[in-house]
Amino acid sequence: MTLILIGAASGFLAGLLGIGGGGLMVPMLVSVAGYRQRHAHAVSLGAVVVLALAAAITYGAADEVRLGTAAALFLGGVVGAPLGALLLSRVNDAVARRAFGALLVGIAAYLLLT
Amino acid sequence: MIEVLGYVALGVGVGALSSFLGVGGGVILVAVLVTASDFAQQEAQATALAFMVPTATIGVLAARRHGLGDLRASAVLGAGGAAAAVGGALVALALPGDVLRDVFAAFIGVLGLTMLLRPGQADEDSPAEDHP
Repeated sequence: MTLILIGAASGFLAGLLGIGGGGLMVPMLVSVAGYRQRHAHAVSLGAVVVLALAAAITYGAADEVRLGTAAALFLGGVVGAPLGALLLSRVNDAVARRAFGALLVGIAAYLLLT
Repeated sequence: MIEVLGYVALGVGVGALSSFLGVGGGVILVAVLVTASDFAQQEAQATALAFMVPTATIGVLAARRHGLGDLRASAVLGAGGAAAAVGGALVALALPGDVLRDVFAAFIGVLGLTMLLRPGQADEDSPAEDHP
């Protein structure tokens, strides 16, 4: 039951904002359902496949998906993911996360003000 | 052609950043597409979701090779969330683009603040290859 509720909250956010929902699912799986962090990531990723597919089909029915762009992005993503994993073992990721957080705040301000 | 190469390059960056930082590729992708290209908010979100389906699938396979994950639990989460995801998408499609953009901006603003103030919280001991 807990899993279904976590899935529902994450799914709504995924559909509304076009995100995977993992950012909500992982902490909830850890704190509410008692999963270990690594395991929660993997379980959440499996759910993202279903949530993203359901939302993408809905957007697709409204003709909003640019499939060619998604395919090009995916090709790049396959190359990029191992690069990020490599970086992770070499760079202080707390600093990187702070920098990225600051960047997101900047983008948010830009989007809200323009 | 140059445009396609640009998107492939963006994909490399999104894949690397999301596996490095442990945040979903969707947040980064939507933010970049609406800020730096001609994508409308709904189009950017739709395209990011389409990008995520195969990307997350590969991530699941990689995690399984490390003995991580539980397809049954994923299926329960997915079943609980699929209808809500459709509902969320329908709400997004019904909203005016600039309103949805502001909602998205508020969300990434909060996420950004969280990462800025508590950078270690989300990815302690998480394996990078598990979230492309």
